[in-house]
Amino acid sequence: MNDELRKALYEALPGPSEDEVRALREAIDPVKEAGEECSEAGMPARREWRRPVAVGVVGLAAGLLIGLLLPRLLVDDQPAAPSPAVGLASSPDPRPEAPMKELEKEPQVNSGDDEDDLKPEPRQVAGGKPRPLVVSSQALPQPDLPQESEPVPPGGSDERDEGAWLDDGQDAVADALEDEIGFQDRVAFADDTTPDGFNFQVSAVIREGRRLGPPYPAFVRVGDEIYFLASQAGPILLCAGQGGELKPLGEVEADQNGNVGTVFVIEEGAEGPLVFTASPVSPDAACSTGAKIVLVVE
Amino acid sequence: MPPPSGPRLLLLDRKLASPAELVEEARRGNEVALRALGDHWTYRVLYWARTRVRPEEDALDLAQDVLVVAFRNIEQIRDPACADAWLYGKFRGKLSDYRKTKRKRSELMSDALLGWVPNWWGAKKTTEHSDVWDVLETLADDEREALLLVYRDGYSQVEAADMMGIRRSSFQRLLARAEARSAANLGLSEAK
Repeated sequence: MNDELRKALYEALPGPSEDEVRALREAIDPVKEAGEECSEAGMPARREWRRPVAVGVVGLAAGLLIGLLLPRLLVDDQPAAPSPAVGLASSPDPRPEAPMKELEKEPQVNSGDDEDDLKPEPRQVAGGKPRPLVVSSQALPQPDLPQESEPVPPGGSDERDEGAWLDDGQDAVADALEDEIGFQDRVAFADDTTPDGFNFQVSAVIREGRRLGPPYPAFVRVGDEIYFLASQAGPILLCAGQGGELKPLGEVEADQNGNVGTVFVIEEGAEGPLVFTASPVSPDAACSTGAKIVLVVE
Repeated sequence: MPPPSGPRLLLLDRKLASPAELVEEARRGNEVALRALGDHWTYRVLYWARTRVRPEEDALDLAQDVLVVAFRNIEQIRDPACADAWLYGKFRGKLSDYRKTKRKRSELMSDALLGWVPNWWGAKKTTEHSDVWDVLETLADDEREALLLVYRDGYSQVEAADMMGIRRSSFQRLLARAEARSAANLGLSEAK
């Protein structure tokens, strides 16, 4: 049932398209918005505790004011005391209580339109610091992957290509990765195609027994199992590395659907960008010329 | 943080940086970090909005509201390592406002147009929820969020409970209810 439910939700609730993300990104300038708070307050942004305290002080002041002053005002506003001829015993108390009760309720402090600022913060997820890279692989007799296992045509793109490249500043990304991991010409994240038309991509990320994506996360974690898909069957030279060093992991076999019969597990201690390259086995196959996939261990 | 982060690389001074580092740098006034954080948060918030709200225009409006509030209140983040959980809190607040407004609007429309019409022909409300969106609408807000966080966004139950700010046992109960109801309404096989 769980898998069926997950599949139904994935199909019915697609994530945003690249165009939507780009449009929204262009609509909002984080620098301007972040500066808005400073200019409005005339000082660095407020500390979180100040608002509830301010609300309490204002509420207390308003309550005192109403509690002390309004009874006097109300008494003054009452008509003159009835004459003795009317009969004091049957006359009602000239100071009605109901209006006071209503007035006492008034000093509700306006929380403003940003009311969620006053809500308690969600309990926070324990974060971890990056750890040194470790990745292990194990041969799979036949990876048992649900759906999504059709090979992608060379150079073809489908929804899984979504966001595989950072649109803005690709050069900057390439430069940064070149510094970090020694890439020379181009980088890709979950999906890449070589100039020869060989496509290599992440076909599944399994986290705690659950399949993630698509879109597949570029950020992976310790314990994640990474499955790959190639655009052709047969032996593939797989390499992996970090910090500028790509080491051949040896040959792996892709089946008729392109499923690579090796699962990679991110092990304890992994950190930073992790690079995989792949190319069909041939006399001139080399780690540096294969299709490249980058996964960032968070 | 878990998966809804799209395949985006976060850069800080031409170096790879985690979202927590970006938040720290952004709060120090580093514009490069703030823009990189903008990329990351835009994708994440829009992802949440598009999987919870329709039509698409409403999702975009909601995401925009959340992002504006988030950037203006970035100083409130206590622990940068948990910035995404904080962001989710902001998102949930706005989502709740959106649902309330939509509910009120729909009730007003219903009262104004249809409330007085007698049910002469005994029309029945449809009970077959072939559409996943309709099924999700039948769940309580908390149940829907629990279901989506785990089944659509890929968070673990522990993480999802932390993000919703509830105890794990409570979260498990919520999720179990949501699973059972949605599976029944979608005609899926019984829970294991």
